[in-house]
Amino acid sequence: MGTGSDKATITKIRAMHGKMLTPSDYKILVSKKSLSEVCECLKNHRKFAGLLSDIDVNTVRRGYLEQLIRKFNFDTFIKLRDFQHLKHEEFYNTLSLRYETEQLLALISSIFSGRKEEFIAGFPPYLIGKTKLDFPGLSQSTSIAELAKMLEGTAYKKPMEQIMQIGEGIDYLGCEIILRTHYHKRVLKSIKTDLPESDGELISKAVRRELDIRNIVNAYRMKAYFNASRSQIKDILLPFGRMGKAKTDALCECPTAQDMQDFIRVNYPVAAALFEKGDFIETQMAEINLKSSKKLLRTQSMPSVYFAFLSLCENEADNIIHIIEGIRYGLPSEKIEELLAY
Amino acid sequence: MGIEKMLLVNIDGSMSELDKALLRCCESGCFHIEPAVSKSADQRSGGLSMLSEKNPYTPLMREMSELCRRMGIETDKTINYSEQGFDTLSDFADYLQSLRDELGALINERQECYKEISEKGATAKQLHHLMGMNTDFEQVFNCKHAHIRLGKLPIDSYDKLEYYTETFFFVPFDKDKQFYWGMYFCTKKDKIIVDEIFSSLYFERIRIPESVHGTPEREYDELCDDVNRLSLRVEEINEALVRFSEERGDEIRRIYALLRFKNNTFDLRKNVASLNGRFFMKGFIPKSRKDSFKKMFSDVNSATLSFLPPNSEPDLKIPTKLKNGWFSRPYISLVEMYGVPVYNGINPTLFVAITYTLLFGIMFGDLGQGLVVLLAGLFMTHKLKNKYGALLTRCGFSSMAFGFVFGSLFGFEHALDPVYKAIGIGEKPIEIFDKTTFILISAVAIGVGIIAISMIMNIVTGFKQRDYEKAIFGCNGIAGFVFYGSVITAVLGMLTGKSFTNTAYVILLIVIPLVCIFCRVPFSIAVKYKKWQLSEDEGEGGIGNFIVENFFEMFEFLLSYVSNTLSFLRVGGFVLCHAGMMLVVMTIMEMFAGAAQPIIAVVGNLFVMAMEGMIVAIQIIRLEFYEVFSRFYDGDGIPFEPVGESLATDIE
Repeated sequence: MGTGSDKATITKIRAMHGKMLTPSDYKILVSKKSLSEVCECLKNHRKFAGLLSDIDVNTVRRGYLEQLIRKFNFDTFIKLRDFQHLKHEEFYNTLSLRYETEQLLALISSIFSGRKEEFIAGFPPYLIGKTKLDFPGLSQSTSIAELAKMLEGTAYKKPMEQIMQIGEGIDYLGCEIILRTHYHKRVLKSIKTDLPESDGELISKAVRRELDIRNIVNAYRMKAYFNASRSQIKDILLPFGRMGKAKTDALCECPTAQDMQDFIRVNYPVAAALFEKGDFIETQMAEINLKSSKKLLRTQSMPSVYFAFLSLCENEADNIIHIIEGIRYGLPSEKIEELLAY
Repeated sequence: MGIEKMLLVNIDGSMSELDKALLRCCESGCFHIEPAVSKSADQRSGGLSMLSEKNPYTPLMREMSELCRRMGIETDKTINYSEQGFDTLSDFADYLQSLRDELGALINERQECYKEISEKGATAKQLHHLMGMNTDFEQVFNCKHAHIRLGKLPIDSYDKLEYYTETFFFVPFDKDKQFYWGMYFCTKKDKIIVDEIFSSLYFERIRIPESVHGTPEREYDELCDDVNRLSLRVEEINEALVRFSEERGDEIRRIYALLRFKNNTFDLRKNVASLNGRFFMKGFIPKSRKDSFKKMFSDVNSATLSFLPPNSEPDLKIPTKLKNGWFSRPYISLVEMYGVPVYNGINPTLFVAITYTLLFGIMFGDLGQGLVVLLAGLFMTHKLKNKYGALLTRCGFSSMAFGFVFGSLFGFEHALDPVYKAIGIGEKPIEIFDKTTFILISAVAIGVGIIAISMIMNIVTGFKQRDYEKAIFGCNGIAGFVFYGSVITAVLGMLTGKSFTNTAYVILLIVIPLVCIFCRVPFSIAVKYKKWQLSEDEGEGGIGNFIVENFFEMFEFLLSYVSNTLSFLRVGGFVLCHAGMMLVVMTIMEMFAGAAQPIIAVVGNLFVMAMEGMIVAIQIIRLEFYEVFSRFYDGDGIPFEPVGESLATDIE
């Protein structure tokens, strides 16, 4: 049972959840023919009306609209965190941590490609002042070594050292695995240290399951599209899942993509839905995670509700972006709808 | 009170006289047109084909309507549609052309002014954000080495500018909730990369019109001056158009009305069929207008009129024209809200008028407030020409009458005492809070009376329609009436201690009617078709099904007798509620000093009148619709809509 303020936060979150886009809203949105129509529609929606009130729907840019929606989510979580006075507990900074990791990866990618301006252009401005990392300073680095040096006094010292240890064969994928492993490690650690045991168990279960699903998708793709070997697949999998070493090894050893599907159906039925809609494995992954988040949202544990709401909001933002992208590329509404998880 | 008797009229004549015939139908004001060939009769229409010509008056009417709108001429207020010299289509086309010649230039100029005002206004709005620039646009755009762009940058993106090491400057002049308004400049050789950077930062460029050269301040002022000058010109044009409208408005209205009349008359052709150069049309007229209608066609030489009984063509649904006296006429709208009665049904308007007025008076009984409602009704009738005014007048009068009985004048419960003494009564007839039981019992008694009358109306309608289930055996038929009356009488007897129920009473007046209601379907089939059958559809369910179905229906009927009767308790409830609310107003008034008391009395009265008046009005409609109409009234009829009348309404 939570405290009084926990209940207040749960109530607040549930009220906010009630304002989110509904399936019928999505049906309306996918039927729109242009960005301005989507923007107009969102402008009339109770959740986004305030955010978009001053936006000129005729001149708004796609990227700016996406940025505004992501920023809105980010600000919502900062407000919720501060409402509970939990600024100093790392668990409640999960979103910042995730964005930090994403941006570090984007920076590394731009260093590899030599197109620094791409990183600056894509950097979400609402992170300025909200993260401990000095991204304007970091963006000046011209090599991974230089970046590692600049991150020495931060929590990213260790992963950067791991990256540097790779030496000559250093590549983006290697950096991604190390940084994402680091992120999940921090999240799981914060769940263990910052939350009561019962709450922690619930969330940790959800996070580990999400990791399993992500690993299965990655392994399947590697096998289906690149016919990767056992060791290649194993290298890209993130640790901390709930599947266990034996099952993970068995998955990696499957000779074909079809064998992988069969293996998952028997040994990890929760993820069987991934293969139900053929090419839409990403959407199916989002649907599975969505289901799990909705389940968490119904609990009486405030951290679980907070965590679930975070996932739901991110999913909603992804859906809106899929719609905008779909309209941009002239996809028919039924095709766009297949990309959405709701 | 009643429903007008109808006749079906078939008209046929030479196609050359079709327009004349249609005109006569419209002028008669009593012809309800029906399609000459009904859809279901298509196969046996004997070669008749419906006319489907394109209406040539429509484009002219639309253009003239638009012209009137632009000139501010209210076309809906046209009174008369007769105008000399306008017979053919070309007469209207010529008139429209003359209007175009006279007004086209002015209207077009005004349109141009509006367009220019809109464009210049938008530019001025943007320039307003660039006021801090203090440099001529001409100078800015003529720079040889610097590349300059004016526009707005999202506030979030502004914070990212420090990330870039390229040489450029962004100078903000203004800031609103989401954007910085300003300009960026860089060297011409960096133009491509800097444009790309700003594009990635969602910079939205403002395109300054070529006509703008000076500083934003000066240009802004000039644009504002231009907008003002144009606005003045628009005003001048408007004045000229108003003068024109004043001089020629009536004439235009009349001609427009005639054009619309011609257009609508032509539209009626879609109900007309033709064969071998002759037209055929049909419709309903009130029986009482037969002779005058026939007389109107005396100058249509080729026309032949044949009058038939209204039910001659089973495909056609006979329209209903309600006959109402001066008292019940305002209540038609309430009845029509539920639906129009069928032709062989019953007109409930008078019954609604009496019960509505009576119930309103009881529930909203206050001499003073009733007077206000009455005056409001008179004002609405005579000044605003609102159809609900007459209804308010009647309700207000009833409210005054019952207010006098309750002795209430704007909530002052003893203000009328001297009047009672003067007329020799001594005190007010009913002291509400002393006679609550009496008021509630009276309310139920009124309800019983209204329900009983509704049942009688249902019996009459049932016999008129030869529906024996409805008239004799139904829960609102003779059986239901006998049962309801007997139960009420028995209850009354028990309450007054004069019980006169005995076995014969119970069997004859309660059990037998209940059996009749239970077996209403087979009994009515037996009466009508002289055979025994459990349901209308042979073979539908067995005896078990019949018993289960009717058991639950009986249960529902019995429950509805009780609930419908008790529903009238609300009438008494509102009497108490009204008195209670006014008591609160009086108590609050007494809590304050002398100067505030009149204000509280006025505000309190206004509040009670507005709130309770509305609730009472709605509650009575609810009682009428649920407790009364549901017993005898279907509202499945179609209203009698004579073509002439609807056209005249259009024009007016």
